[in-house]
Amino acid sequence: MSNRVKKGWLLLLVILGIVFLPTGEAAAQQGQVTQPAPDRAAIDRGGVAYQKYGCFVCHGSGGAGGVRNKNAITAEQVAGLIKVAEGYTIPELRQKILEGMLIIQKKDPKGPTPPLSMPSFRGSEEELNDLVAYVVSLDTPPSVVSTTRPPVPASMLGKGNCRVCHAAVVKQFESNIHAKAWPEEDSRSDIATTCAVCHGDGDRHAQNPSDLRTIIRFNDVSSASAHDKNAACLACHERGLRFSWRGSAHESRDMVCADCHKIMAPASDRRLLAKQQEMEVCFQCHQVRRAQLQRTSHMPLREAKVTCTDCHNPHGTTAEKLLSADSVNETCYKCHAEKRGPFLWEHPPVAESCLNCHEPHGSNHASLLKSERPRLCQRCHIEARHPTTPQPVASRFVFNRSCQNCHSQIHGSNHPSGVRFQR
Amino acid sequence: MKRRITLRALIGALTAALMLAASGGLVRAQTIKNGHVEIGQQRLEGDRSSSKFEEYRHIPSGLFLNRLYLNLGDQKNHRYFQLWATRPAQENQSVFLQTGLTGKVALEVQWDQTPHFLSMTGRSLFAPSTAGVFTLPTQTRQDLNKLVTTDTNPAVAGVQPDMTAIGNLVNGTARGFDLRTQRKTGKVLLRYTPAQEWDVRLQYSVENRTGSKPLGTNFGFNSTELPEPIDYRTQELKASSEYATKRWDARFAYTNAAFNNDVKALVWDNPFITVEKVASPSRGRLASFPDNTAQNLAFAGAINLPKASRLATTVSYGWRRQNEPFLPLTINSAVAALSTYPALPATSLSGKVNILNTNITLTSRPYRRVSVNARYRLYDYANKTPSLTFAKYVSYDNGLSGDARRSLPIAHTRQNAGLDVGWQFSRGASLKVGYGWENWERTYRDAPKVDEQTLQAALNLTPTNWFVLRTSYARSDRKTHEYDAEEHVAHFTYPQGESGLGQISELRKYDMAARTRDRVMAVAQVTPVDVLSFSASVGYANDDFTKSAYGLLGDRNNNVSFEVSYNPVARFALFTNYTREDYKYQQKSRQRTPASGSNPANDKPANDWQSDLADKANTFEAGIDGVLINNRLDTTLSYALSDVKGTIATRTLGATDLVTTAANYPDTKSKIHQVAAALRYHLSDSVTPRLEYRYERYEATHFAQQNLNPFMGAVDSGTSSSAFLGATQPGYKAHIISFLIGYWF
Repeated sequence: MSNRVKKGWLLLLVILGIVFLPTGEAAAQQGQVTQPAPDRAAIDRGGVAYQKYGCFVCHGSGGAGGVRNKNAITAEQVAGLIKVAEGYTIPELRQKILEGMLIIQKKDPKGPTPPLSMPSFRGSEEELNDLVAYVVSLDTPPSVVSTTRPPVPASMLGKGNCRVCHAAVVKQFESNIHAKAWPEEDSRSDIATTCAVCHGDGDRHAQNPSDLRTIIRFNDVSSASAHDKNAACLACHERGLRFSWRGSAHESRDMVCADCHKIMAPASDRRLLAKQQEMEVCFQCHQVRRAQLQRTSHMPLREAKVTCTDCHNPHGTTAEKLLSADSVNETCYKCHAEKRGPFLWEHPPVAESCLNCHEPHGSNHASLLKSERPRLCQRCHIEARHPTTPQPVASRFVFNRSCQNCHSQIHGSNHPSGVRFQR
Repeated sequence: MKRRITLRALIGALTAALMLAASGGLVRAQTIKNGHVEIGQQRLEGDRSSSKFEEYRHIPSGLFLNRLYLNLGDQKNHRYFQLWATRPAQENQSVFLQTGLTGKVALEVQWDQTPHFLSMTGRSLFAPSTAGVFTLPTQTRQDLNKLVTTDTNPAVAGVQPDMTAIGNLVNGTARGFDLRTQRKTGKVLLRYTPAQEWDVRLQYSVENRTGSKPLGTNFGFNSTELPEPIDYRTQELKASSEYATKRWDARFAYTNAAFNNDVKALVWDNPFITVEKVASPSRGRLASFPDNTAQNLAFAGAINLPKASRLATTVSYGWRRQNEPFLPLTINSAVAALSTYPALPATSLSGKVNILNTNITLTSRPYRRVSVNARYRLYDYANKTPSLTFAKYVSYDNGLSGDARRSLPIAHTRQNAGLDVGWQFSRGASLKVGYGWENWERTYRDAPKVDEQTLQAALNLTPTNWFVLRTSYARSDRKTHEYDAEEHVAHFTYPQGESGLGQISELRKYDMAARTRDRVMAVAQVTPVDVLSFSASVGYANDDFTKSAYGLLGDRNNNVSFEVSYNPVARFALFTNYTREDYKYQQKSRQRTPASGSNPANDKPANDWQSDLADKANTFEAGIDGVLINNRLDTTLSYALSDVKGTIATRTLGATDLVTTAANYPDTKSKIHQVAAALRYHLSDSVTPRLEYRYERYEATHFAQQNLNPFMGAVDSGTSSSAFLGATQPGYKAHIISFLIGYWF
């Protein structure tokens, strides 16, 4: 039999299978999903329970679904309930509602925890039966969506009830440094007010979770402005390193705290950073700096012995370039205190700014110099004789340490005869 | 002695920590919450005979402890104790410990060691000396002296020594050693929070830096490069307190820092002269970095006002002091015995610099979509060091100069002011315009007053959740109100302009010169779908020194970067980034010779020359992160390259009668390849062995390091009486194979 003939038989079998396959209704009749005859009264009572226990908040009116649940395996949405009966038996459905779904499977295993989860059912046995009947009855989407949303049950409002829908997130939060700062059992706070400290009052959000304006979110889909998002953090943190945040370079570029910090799912061991390494956080925008660190002349940043915040305070400072010290030189003196002086003989550009000669982020020239010697020195020294000659490459003025073969004390000399930085 | 003090300080700090831990009940009721330990076995292969391989790191071969993490705490998370250790017990170890009662008291103890390997090809006639005294056997010096003073070709004017013989003796006598330094830093921070609003901190740190590094010394144009012994200790004590409410914030800080150098001077024998005479120094002496202290008292206060306004101010006052006793003018006893040998004007500098730094900032949002920032800053570097006049001085321990010298306490005051207005004209879109002013007033510098004005605009766009664009442009105009090129000469002549040509009058030094500056920057981040993110940035900067006829004329650079991350399925991710940078400089000079005897000075435009310098850098990285067997085996592969090329082109600009050496220098090149591969097997939730392979190749070509040897007479015949270290940093190729087992508990 040729391949073509084989394929023809296969195609015929598939078509026959489709035509003569038992329908869902027939399968149900055969006992695959055994459903009782619809009890209109039970369905109606179940609809009341569906509202009473707030199922509609996430599953939507009439079980339409569609509420966003980031990184949930169900297309990042809360699943709808239409035709749920086709996937569950009645006992399975009862069990599901009774136990809830506290852990929602992730779409991306390395991604964030889906924020919404399903609480376990707390109603009576009768209400559970009615609810099951109602859910099973949902076989078509509601033709008309009510414009007036039913009121959210009290159990989802007020203090302590964020975990009704966000159990996994709340659990994750318990190990967060912020939870330690606002312990739940502390009389000052409970979990709702802890969440509200940053996200604002959650009641409006519980009533309409799809509306982004009802709560302060810190992710990209938030409708809050950068200022509003940052205000939530600054309410507690506008002190210490954040003293000069307002008006700082990063604030003026509409950056938000959450661009660098991931409060709920930090990637770093310390400081709740969005990346495992602090430098990687900075490199998200400062890509050239990442390249400069690979230069032959570099500080030990790529060896993780120095990091960006050893010199800079990204939260704002009063000095240039977000330097954490009062000036460029005072920043450098943290590690190079020997060059602090004052010296008897000062080299003026050195005393004013190390950046006149050095590029601290990495250089192709020795000692992090901005340019090659002797040309770097010859930019300012046009007096006479050897500093003014171009100098051949095979010369003591060029090879090895160039000008510093003799003028080694270029950062300043304290020797009475060191006027030319040779002693 | 110094080490004992450091050790005592650390032991004291640790004792205090333990006492605190005991009294505060930090240890009580603690249980191990989780932890991680990783050990490994490593093998190194390849040609690793370069200091660049372990420049700032230590890569052991054999068994080693790679990481340790311990997290202890009580059930309520009130008490905590965490310990991180990286490469413990190795030369580059780092240990960080934090413990405390949440919200009440915290103690952090940190210990870090950072090696800095400078060269492993260094060779010196001298044996390394930790005291800074370098001596040579008399016989060696006599032999060298004989060689450099014996004329092998009387037909040619001047002494023509046997360069080969000198080279053989210098290179043959020089002994090799490593040039490296090691920083050891200990830090203790105690933080106490008496109330939620109140924060008190006390911090002490000590750093010891030891080892040796190359240092150039000279007798005239004859160089003697030495392995300078480094024995520094830097200590800092900082106390601060902050009280912050929702309405206002006030804080005080006091810092006291001290630098001590145990090697006060370097003394070395002149390898080529044995008998000390005037104009014939047999020894040299150089002053090392002097001890210094710095104190700073700072206050910062802020008040939050209506309309989301905040008024903040900081005031700090600092004192820097340096009073190391002066060395004599020379070590040359013959010079010191001269009747005209002068007394020093002071026994030490009494160096005093006081720094006042004040800032005031007002930020406000008068309307919800409008922000206003106004700021003023004053940084006053007041140098109170006395100006000392030395009746004579001694050039390189050679002989008494007939000229006096006067030290000048350079000082400056810098003021900045600015106003920015931001307008959020749409959701996720804002425009900011600003004006900035900077003023420098300098004492004893060429340009006593410089003003710079800057106009800038920035546009921030986040119209959707998948697109971010930030752009900015700034234009600055710096004006130098007056410029006195002769002020430069005042720094090394007294009375000013005693002889020679002085500084060329049309030079404008680039840190003070009139300048227009343009800066353009744009960063875009695009995430069209969850699995793909793209970011790119461009930058352009141009400094045009509009009034400079000599010196640096232009400084221009531009860069382009992009970064892509593609994560099509949960088990596979690909990332890459690339950056290209171009740097260009243009500078102009003139070869000049002063009048000498009957020869007049030669100082004319025909001897002008110009150099164009450029650096081009390409940096690339790409890698994949993949799961081979779900929850069992995953892998990471990456490759990184940094490739930089530098050029220096030099040419004359006219019919020169003096410049003979204007030629292009050979290109400088450096290239670093890094390949990394890792295979991780998740044996269980708590045990993960991994196999790593790393290949590194570093290549460098630099004209300044070509053919470097202790004796360089074959390169420059003028160095017959010089001895260098020949310290280079050649390329290397290294294979690092590691097997590590991580255990989480």
